[in-house]
Amino acid sequence: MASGIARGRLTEERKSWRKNHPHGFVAKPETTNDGTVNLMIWHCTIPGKAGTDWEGGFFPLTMHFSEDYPSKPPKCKFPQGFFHPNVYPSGTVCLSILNEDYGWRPAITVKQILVGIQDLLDTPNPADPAQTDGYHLFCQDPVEYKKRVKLQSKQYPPIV
Amino acid sequence: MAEQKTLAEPMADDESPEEISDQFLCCVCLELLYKPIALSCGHLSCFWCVHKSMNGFRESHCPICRYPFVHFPSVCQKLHFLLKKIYPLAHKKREEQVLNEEQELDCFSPQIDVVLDEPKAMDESVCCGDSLNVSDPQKVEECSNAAKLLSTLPSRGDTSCIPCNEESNVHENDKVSTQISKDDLLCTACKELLVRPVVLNCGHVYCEGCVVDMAEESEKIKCQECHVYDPRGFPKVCLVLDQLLEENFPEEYNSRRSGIQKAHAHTSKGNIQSFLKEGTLPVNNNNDMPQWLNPKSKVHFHAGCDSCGVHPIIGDRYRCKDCKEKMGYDLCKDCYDTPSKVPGRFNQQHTPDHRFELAEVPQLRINLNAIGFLLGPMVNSIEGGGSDDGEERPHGSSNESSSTE
Repeated sequence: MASGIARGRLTEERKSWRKNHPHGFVAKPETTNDGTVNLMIWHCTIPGKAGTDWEGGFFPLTMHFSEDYPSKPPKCKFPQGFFHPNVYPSGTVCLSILNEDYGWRPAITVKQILVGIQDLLDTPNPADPAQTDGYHLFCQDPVEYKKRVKLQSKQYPPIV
Repeated sequence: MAEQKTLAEPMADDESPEEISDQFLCCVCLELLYKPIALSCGHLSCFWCVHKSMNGFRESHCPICRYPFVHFPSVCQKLHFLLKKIYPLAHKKREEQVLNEEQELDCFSPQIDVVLDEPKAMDESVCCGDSLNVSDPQKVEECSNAAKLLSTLPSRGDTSCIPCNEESNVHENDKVSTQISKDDLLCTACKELLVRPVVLNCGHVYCEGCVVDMAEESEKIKCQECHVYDPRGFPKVCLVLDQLLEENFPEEYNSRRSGIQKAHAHTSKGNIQSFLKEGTLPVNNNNDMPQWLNPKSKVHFHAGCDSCGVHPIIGDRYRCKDCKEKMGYDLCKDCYDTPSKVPGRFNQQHTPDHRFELAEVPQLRINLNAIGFLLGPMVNSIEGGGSDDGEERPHGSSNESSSTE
């Protein structure tokens, strides 16, 4: 019974996003070269929260949905090498709500995921490190960590 | 926001015909709940959405709150027909859409509408009003296609939906049918307006208080309508239904509610809450996790009981030799020993004279390490006998570790 509910759900997610979505965020299914829409991959933008070192950055994130979605969570990826204690070197975000065995529930929407990741940016979880660089600086050198975060935010200016 | 709308390409074709209240959207497919199922935690989802998200190897989790469950409940028909009444257009659309998918799969959900629809379908005018009150021509065509489709389905027989296509476009959306009445929301036991409704495994709805009374005689709750025991613990109140009651019948609901609270304050068993907590224990016992990994426990992966809905079946499993459906018809030992007339969960044409055979346990030669790779941290806690919930373990799936290097 693996017949896909995934596409139907993603169509509804798309509709709901168009109706309303949090300010500054972008989420769009991929359009392939021949103009067709691939619902299984979404290109998103997460704005850094105002008042934090992440402010001013508009961070690109790709969501990969499998045919098992929403039974299984999408894989969420920042660009490779993204600087954050809970982001793997491959760019994959490590977050409890995105883990099938821990916090994932099919009721979690794309909106909630994106807002959850925005939250994670400024409140990393040191109990769950995913990269050495970001983790070590976060724990041992807060000043340098802050500098790196601000630098990265400048590297991702708003797309006009 | 207004800008957003004008920039976006038109999506009029798949816009819902009615504005559906958020509470009636399935949390899995985000569409109107269709053939809704209430889990023991009181949360709702569509028949197929629940079934498709159930785990074939171990207990499943509520898509909303992750509350564990092992029984696939029957459709809550009361809510099903309510939604059909409130959102006739969206419901019709869902019905066609789901039926299409079912035909592709050659596997069907319970055809609960058939019985009630049949007398209506005989009457042509009602049929038109009910199914095809859409004004734009494209929709009408969709509907007529679906109507043909419906009539080709064997279980539907020869419902007379097709002849009314020509006249359908003149019908206006009549509001009469959207009016829900108190009669739609009565408790099976006390025959009064439901108060704090709970849905049993069989899909029948009672007041929470009535179920407590029913359970006082025996440990288990026996449905008064279908005389089947609820194999689970105490179900929690279905809050969506509760809200619906309160919104539509505020005065009666509140007077009933306060009346019940007074009555319970005077009885010795006044504390429903503690009673309920006890009642939920059996559920947890059922869910003792490592069972499925133990070859001796005979876990029938991906096979559920068509009577009580337990999934997967653990222990003896009886398979019908005479049911022709691809899905087959299975019973767990308990249900095999206590025959009931409950129809199959997937519209199987099972009858009591069918013969059964004991089904073999699928012999998966399981290498624990291989499974560990697939399931990650869950197995670790079983093997290592660790009791903690794994907060320290990295959250990434096992294939992530390679990319860390």
